[in-house]
Amino acid sequence: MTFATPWALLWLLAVPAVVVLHLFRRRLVERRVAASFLFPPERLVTTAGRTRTRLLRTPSLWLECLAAAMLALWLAGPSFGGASARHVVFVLDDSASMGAGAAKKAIAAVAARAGSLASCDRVTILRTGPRPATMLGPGDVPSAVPGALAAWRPAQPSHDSAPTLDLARELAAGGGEVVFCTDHAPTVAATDVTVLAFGSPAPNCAILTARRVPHTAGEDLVVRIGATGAVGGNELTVDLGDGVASAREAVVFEEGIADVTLRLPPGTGTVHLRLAGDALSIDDEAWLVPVPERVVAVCDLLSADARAALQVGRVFAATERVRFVGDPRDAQLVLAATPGTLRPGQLEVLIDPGAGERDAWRGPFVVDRSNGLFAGVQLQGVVWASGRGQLPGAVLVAAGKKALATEDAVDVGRRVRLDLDASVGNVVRSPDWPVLWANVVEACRAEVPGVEDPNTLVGGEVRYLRTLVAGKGDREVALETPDGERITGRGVRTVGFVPARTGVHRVVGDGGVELARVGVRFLDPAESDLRGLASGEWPAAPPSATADAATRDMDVERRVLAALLLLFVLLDWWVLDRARPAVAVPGRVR
Amino acid sequence: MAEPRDLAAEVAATAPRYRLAVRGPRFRGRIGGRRGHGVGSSMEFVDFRDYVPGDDLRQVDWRGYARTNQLRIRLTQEEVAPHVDVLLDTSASMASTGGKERAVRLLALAMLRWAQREGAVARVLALGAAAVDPAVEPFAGTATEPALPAVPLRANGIRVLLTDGLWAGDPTPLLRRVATGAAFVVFVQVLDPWEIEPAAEGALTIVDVETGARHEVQLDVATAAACRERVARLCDGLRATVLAGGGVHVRTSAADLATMCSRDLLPGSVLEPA
Repeated sequence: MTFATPWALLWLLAVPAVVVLHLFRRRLVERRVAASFLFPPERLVTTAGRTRTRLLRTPSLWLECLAAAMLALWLAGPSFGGASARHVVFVLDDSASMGAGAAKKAIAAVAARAGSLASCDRVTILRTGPRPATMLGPGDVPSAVPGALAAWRPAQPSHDSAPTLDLARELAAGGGEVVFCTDHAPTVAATDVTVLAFGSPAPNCAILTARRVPHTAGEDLVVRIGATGAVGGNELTVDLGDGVASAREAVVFEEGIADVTLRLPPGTGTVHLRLAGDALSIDDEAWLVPVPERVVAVCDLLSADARAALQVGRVFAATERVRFVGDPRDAQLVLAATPGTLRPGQLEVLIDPGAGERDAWRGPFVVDRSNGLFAGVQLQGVVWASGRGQLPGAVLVAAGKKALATEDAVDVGRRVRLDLDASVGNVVRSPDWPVLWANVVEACRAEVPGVEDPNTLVGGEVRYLRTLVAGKGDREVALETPDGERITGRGVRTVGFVPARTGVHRVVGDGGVELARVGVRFLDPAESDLRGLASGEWPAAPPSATADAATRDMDVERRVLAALLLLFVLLDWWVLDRARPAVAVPGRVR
Repeated sequence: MAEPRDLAAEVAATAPRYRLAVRGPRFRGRIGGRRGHGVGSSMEFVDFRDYVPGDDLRQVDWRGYARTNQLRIRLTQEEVAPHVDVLLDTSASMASTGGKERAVRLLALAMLRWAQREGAVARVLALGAAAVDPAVEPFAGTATEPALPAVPLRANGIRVLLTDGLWAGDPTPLLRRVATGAAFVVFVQVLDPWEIEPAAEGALTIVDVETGARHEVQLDVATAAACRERVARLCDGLRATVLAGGGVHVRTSAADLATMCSRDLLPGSVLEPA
């Protein structure tokens, strides 16, 4: 059996109090008698003021003791587990500004409130955000609250709390209570939500911009720092990683903004920026992971004659970040004369004019410029020699009714067909030829497995492109936070993760093998501005009669106890009334 | 306390239907309707004696003179109206309840009325005090031992003792002294119905009206039965003492006068139909 208000069990002291009252101040019916010696002496108790006398075990005593016990139990709110009791839904503001001291106070307040609940009560903890997140519950036991709050680190950018509060209201429907812990005063009065604000205004500095700008001699580190409130200056520490000395830069703000530019030596790894401590620490740090090169793997399955005619070597020699591989499964770009098995994200270029006679086309050519492969391709003065076969797929380049280049619609990857006889005509010698292949390579570069952007923001998305090739170690991909927690992403080929913490995250594959690193920092000037924080408590309006009635309907134990209490009181009244003489007796008092 | 006018009206309505059923052998008193102690002028023959000068010639037994030629006088029973002394217990216990107090006053007034109808000289004497008016006499005595009235009782009279008999002390000496010199003693014990049949009322604070002592008692079934038994035993003792002295004992439960007369006094041979 559990109690909603265990302290109310102290009311059980009313039972000995009733006994004491019966001992010292019994309210018995008084009857004048002609001779008291008619009563058996052993049944008489002499009363003398308020001195203690022998306790008379009257039905009234027992009934009053039982009534007092029932009252204490009723106040304590016992539960045998069958009936639901209070349901308190705590909504924690997960915005980063809560990290400026308000989070600790909120944790303490929630823990205190949960501690006052009975074990039969139910607690749900929600965390605000773009999407409401459940930290505990729904309907968990109050004892689980401290564990659920232990790892809470508010780090969300500013967001609307309304969806989370709406969810909380739904969860608390039927007599529940919603408690919203934040650091701002409520802008709109919510009569059904108790708002607890723990914020306090404070000046703050934040890293607004941090990026690595490459140039020929290496990289530049460009940092912009903003300040709100009375902040005169700060110190920026730049940690260039193991073996490289840290740099410190004094920051002086002008109109709340300070720009810092540093030269990074070549080969610099992850850069860690941090400001001197202030009210909010989450916006004082930034991590910049070097952007990995995305090298396109090309598999050339053309014959030597065709390769030579197409001048493949010349074209790709002029293209950066390209490598040739022998296994088409490892390539993002496959050059072939006949169709092969396409891999996810793979671009297969089939160059085959077919057998038979050739036609030479001088134009005019119709080019589908909406397709990125032919962006910038003019085909001016080009003589395109092609076979007389028909190409399947969507037309990319046509001369009259003749489709010269098409793109097949396939489930995975892309297949581009070129009806081109390179030995005839001047396509491969035109300026459009390397442009076309540059477009192809860049289109394939987007399909290179790995992290799309290694530096992102809290609340942003980390996108990792998998190979979907067995044995490549990326069958199971997860994002590992600096705390070691692994976040499971969504998606098949491109797996997306939404980091909620700052720091250097690791993208790990099968067996925990690191696939990439991601630097996550916080950026939200609105959250970094702590001048508008407030504290206070805005209690919810008293529950309506309907909700109150619903609660009572669920409280079976209390109803039973109330009935018993009423029964005992009525019985006591009846017993006392029955003890009255039927005829009025002079001098009789109660 | 009941109004004397109400009491008198109730007595006037009920008393004419009854008369005192006194059975004393020889009373003293004024000329009346009851057999007296000595020789009188009634019609009831007692004896003969020789004539002496001065005797009333109307009493001469002329028939015997004719046979024996001797003058003899016929003696007849004296008829008197007996003295009636109503001894009223004025202790506070007699007014422990309103019903009991009213019943006692009614009985005392009725006794006076019945005595006066017999032509008797009646008076109400308080135990341990003098003559009182039963209609207004307060019941406030606190004496635990009964005592005779402060004025002498008249010899060979009827003595009616109106009391509840609830004395802490032994009443036997009083009863003997009341019976001494009395022609007929009537002991009317008036009790409240609750005193005769106490009910199990639960916890009570009882207040002794005479001593003022307060006690708490769990008046359950067992205690009520014990009380009934003690009252019954007390009444039996009084009855035995009264009967041993030749008197009549009647215990009546306080009620209206008609009820007490028909239910208790008439069956108890204290009254007889008028």
